[in-house]
Amino acid sequence: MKNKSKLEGIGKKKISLQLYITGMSENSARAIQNITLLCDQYLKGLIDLEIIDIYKNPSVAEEQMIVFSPSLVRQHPLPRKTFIGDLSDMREVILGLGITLKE
Amino acid sequence: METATADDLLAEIEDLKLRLSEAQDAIDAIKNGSVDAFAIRTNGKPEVFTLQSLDYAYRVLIEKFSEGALNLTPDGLIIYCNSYFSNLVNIPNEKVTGSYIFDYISDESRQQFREHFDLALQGCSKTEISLRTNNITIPVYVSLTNLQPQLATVGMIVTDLSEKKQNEQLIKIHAETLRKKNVELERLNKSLDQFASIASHDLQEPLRKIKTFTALLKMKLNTTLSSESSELIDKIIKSSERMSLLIKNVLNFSRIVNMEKMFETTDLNQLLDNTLKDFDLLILEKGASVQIGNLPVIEAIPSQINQLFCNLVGNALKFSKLGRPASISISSRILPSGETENEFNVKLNLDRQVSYAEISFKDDGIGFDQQFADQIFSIFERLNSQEQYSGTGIGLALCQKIVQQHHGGIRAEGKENAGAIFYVLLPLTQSANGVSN
Repeated sequence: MKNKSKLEGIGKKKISLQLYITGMSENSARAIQNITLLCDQYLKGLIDLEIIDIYKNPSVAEEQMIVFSPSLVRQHPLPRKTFIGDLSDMREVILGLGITLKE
Repeated sequence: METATADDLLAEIEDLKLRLSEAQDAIDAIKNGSVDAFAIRTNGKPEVFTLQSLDYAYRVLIEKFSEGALNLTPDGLIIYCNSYFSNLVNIPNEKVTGSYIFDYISDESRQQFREHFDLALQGCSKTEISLRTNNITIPVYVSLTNLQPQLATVGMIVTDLSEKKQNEQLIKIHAETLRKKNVELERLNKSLDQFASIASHDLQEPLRKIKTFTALLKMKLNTTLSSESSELIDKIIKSSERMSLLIKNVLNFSRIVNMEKMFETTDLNQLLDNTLKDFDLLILEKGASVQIGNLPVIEAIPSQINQLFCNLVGNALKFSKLGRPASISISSRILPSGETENEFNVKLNLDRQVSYAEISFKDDGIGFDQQFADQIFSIFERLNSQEQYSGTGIGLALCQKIVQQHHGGIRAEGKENAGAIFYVLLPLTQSANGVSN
């Protein structure tokens, strides 16, 4: 495997994550900081992350069935999973994403 | 008991109905957007939750703002960016948020931006830098403000300077083109002046021969010449003399332009005295009276001022009314700096910082129509016929050239058949014009 990595449970494709936030709210800011920290430090190059402001496009929230902000959605690999809140418990997020850190 | 229970139940149903309808009303109100906020006790604390939030207007303002607006953590992580910024860097908003601002700064600006960003963490800072994304460099003006203690972030406003820079570039290019054209124009002017000088010089020679040989021919044929032939020969001589004068004046004109400017302290009274002495005979002949006021001492080129006075006094005498003794008056006054711009002098482009001597030459001759007041200073421009008043049409053009060489101005006022006044404005000193003598 190309990524003979410390990560398991990932297919050949990148993990596709979408973080839905609302403008400059404190929880949104914290969620952005947490998810970028997680991606940069542990999952560099393995994540395709998009941060979507639902203030800017409310219709996306409806389409994606997002009710709460901030929400993190794993679109790939399936099944789709949603995490609500500012993602401050990183361990929970990692577990929820189905990633095991091999250290 | 049972009836009481039934009554109780009915009452409870009524109460529930009322509460349900209240709740339904509240939901309807929320749905149709007529509710802003509700206050609920959570965790033992009263809190207010906003619905159609009160910051809506601010949000729209920031979002639609036609400047880039960003919110950055102290690490430079972008936690908010408005559409203008994502359009400017041409990267989707979803990708800009969550990336680092430093990734958008050009290599040349990175150090500078770092310094200003660190400065902003203490307060605020503004600077001009360039962004670099998608291989395009964008000049911008950024304003950074620390939003603490309210928010643990740095606000950043980005102004696109591309258009301004383009305009500056355009102006530079235009200025350069203009400068080149100016140099070319100066060169052409110089060569034209030189041409005039050379041509006039070379034209004099054959003309002198025509005059000499015609005179010789007349002398030789003196006795055998019919009066008609003699008259024709006289006409040839007269014409060649006129042409000679014309060439001489053209030569003078070009000499004034090419002459090295040697300004010296000059008493204008003395120059005018000399000029009037030259005209003694003509003044006597015309029975003219000349009044002279006191003239100032200024920095000037004496030979040119002499020529100027000669032409103006000569004109005043020449264009006097037939059969009536001319009356000429020459006077002067000082126009201190800042008081030169009256309605008449506005076209002369005088320097407001400079004091001028205004010398006026007033006559009671044939005058001219005021509508020709500018035209008379053009070279070869004549308002009167050659038969009535001799002249080459260079005199006043020469006068104008001379005052221009002195950084001054000349203008004329006239009325047909009611005299003319020529105003000459000369700076008292030349140093203020950036010219050293």
